[in-house]
Amino acid sequence: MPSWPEQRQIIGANVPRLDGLEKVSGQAKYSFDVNLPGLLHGKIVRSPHAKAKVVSIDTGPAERMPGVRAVINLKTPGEQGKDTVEYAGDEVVALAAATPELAEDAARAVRIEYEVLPHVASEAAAFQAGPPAVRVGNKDERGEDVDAVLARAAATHEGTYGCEVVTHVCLETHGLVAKWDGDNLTVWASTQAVHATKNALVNHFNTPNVTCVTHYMGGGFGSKFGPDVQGIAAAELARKAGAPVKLMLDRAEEHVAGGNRPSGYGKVKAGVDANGKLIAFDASTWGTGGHSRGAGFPLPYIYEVENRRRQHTDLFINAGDARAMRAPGHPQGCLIMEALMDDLCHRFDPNLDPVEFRIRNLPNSNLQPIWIKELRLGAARIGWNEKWHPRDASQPGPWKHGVGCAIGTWGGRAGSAQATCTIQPTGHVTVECGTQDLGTGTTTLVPMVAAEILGLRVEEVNGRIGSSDYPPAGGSGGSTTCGGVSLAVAVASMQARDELFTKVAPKLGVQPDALEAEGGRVYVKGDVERGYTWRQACALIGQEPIRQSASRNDGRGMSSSGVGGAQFADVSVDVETGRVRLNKVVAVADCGLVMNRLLCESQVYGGVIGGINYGLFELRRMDEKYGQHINADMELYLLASAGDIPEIDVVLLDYPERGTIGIGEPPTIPTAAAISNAVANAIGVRVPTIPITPRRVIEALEGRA
Amino acid sequence: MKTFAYIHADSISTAVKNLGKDSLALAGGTDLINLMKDHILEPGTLVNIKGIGELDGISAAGDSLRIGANVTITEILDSAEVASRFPALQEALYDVATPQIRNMSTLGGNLCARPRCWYYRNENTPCRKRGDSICAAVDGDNELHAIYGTDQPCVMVHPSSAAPPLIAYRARAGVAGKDGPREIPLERFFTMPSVDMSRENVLKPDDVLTHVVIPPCTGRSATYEVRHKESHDWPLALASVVLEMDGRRVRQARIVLGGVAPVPWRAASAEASLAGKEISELTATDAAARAVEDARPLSGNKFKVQLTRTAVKRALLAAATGRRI
Repeated sequence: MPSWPEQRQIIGANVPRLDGLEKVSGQAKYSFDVNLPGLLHGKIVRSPHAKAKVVSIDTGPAERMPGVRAVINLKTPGEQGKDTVEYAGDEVVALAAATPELAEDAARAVRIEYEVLPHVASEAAAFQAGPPAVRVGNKDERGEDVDAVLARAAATHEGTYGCEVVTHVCLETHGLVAKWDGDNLTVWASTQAVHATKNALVNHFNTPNVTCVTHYMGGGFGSKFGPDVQGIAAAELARKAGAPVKLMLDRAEEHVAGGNRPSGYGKVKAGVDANGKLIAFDASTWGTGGHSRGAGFPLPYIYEVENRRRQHTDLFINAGDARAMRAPGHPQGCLIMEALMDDLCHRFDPNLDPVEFRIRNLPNSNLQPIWIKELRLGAARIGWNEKWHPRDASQPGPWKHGVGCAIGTWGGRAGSAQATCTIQPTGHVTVECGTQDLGTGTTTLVPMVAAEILGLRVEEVNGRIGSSDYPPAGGSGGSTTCGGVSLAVAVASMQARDELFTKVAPKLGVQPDALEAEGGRVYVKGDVERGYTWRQACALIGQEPIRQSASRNDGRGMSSSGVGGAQFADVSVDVETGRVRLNKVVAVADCGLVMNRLLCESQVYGGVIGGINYGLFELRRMDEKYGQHINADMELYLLASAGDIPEIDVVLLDYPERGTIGIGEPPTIPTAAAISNAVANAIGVRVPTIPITPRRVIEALEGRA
Repeated sequence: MKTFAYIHADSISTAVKNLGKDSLALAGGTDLINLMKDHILEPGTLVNIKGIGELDGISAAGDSLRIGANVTITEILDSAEVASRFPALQEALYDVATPQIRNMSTLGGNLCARPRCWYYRNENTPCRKRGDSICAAVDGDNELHAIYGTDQPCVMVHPSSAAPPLIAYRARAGVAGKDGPREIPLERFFTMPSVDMSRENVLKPDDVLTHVVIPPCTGRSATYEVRHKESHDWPLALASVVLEMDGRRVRQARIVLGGVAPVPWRAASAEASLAGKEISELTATDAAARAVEDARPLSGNKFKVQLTRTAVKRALLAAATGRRI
């Protein structure tokens, strides 16, 4: 069975992003940057109404404009199920024109008659409206009667906590460039799944000849797994117009139609016994994932409670639909659970250290010792013993200081992937894998892994990814890419190396398994002089290059799943203005075998920054009356600026024996909860809902929260 | 964007001649172009005033300081003259928008800025400023809206960060129009929605704001701003104060608030309360309480009353002591 080399030269080192210079210097061509001769520009005409029936569509005024080359309807008046719009921003018509400006003008020239219907645009309104806006789930009850256990608990706490809907805000918006050549379709898509995007287009157009290319992409976070409505529309328009079409969403469209993370709220009550161990948990939870998506999330989160009851309600509102977003469900579950844990700890014993309270209640699993290690390490790095104080401690002056922590967990198993390693007689090595670089560094990972196995330098391997012409690989979701791709590439490289050894071994008079490839040489183990340089060795291959393929499944044992993670926040809160200033965040993360320390840390930084935005800034504002997303921009939809980001202290725990595990999602899970707990520690009251805005801090202090 | 005619004006008279009901002046363009892209404003003609030399430059005008309307925010921040004589103006502008926007946007544009109200800027919601009969903010999401003058038919907040300190410094606005140039106190430059729903100031369609003149200031001054973010964010509340002193006592205080009313808001009773007093935590707190006595917050922005109180208190203490919290 294949395994990772025990002595690693490249894996685990700080290998800079191979495409870093291209990206920062603007040379990297993203899908948005693809411009082809004769390119047309697509635009979607969207509903201004939150819910309506499309009575008629008159595209004539647009079609008559010179330069408008194709128009297609995305809704069909009079056809049940295809004639309603479900949110302000829903797609009604798509068109392509010679310039982006003309496409905008043409979109406004389309005449659409709507029969406006009543809408629901907030959780509160959905509750008022009742079914079908409200779907109450089954009650999940386990153990003894929860009320009875709560009644005999040593301490209980009840609170309502929540997280708002936030959007992905991909810097490169959704969209693609589509080009037909006879029956062959090529798309340059901003996608985190080149093969899935290709397959969706193959199915839609019923042609096998589709290629999806994604050399660089500007963020997906779970929202870019297929061509989407606008991608298929772009390809339709391109076919109709007989010219390539670019259709990328603008910023407002990205907010409204590009997906979001569902809201998550919980009215929760929990109790502990005299030892401070959780014995009962009761939760009524709800959230909205838009007009057709659910809003489920795990709860209780991490901490196991024997006697528990939970009922979850999904609310359907006339807003853009949710999509997977970095660790789907976990940030919501973590915020509610970890806020409850701190409040319950305070209720049980105001002087009890919340870190100890957590450790007492950790589940008895293989992650338990890891969480304990991470909590202790994080506490030391944030200065917990000096900074944590019971909530009622009074601090002079308007700025109150506090610290808080939270833990998270994720799977991160290896996802499906195939790879091919080719060694040319010239010594050139190419590794192909139909994965994509979501921004995580897969472009660097692929040649790194092959170079490690073949004993070469990273730049000596030509890694090729980002095209559906390469061997199939899964979408980059669930933190599964690093594991799957690493395994497929490693095993394909091992097989190619071993085949090379069979060619070289006879010349050296040894068996192939006596050989080693290391430091740019192929030689007899233990005698580096007895062998060849890489090029000399490859010259022995003959005319046919070595070509070996492998899949993730061939690397079983080289990966596992399940990570912990603990984060700590140090905050100051100005109780006269409600402003929260982050002084420091400590993020302790584990992901099995650390593949590339630099890129791994980069993922943690990004996850923490996303969590800071979730905890302090991001908030989709829906106007109830008009059913509009009123801050669909990057001005009043707040995102941290550089000055809002504190020192982030990343600590990576390396567990090589657990093999490769993904790290993309876990580090964004506990940040907001740690911040919320730090704020509560600072000001003595809970700000129950994130983001923690000045308004919410002031209202919590005034008892109006 | 609606198609428009473009005129490059190289003199004030050319600009005035070409401005009118269906035209707008273009300076930095950091916001106007966006409003046009979003079809919120659809002028038939854009008159580019960026090339008019008389609108440039920071210069002495006797004892006073003249700042041209086309002077960028960055130029004001870089001015040693402004730093030494009118620190409250720089304090208000330090973190306006982003470095890129500060490099492009002008003082004139800042003073003539249109509302940031999310209903004004969303075609799919009604707005009185866009000719509808309803203000969506009154019963809608008004978290960032006015807490003073909320009986007005529009509850926008004036977004200018430069106006409060300039008014506190008793600056005058230079305006050129069909009848030639005139100067008016900047305080009277801004108008409430009830005066003219379509505008936020006294400029007539063919007027050009040419400059502001700040008279010499012998008092102590400061600006304190409360924002959600560290930068690239609008003030939730801003207070600029100028304290004319008799020794340790205040002879006259001027306190002007930003981000809380449809116009820069003078806190007159707070000013009066300070006359003859020394600035202390106590007197500053008392003045701050008076400053918000006439605040009438909307359904979602009561918290801004507290923020305004804090901004006034901290601006007063900063002006008096030179220390910041």
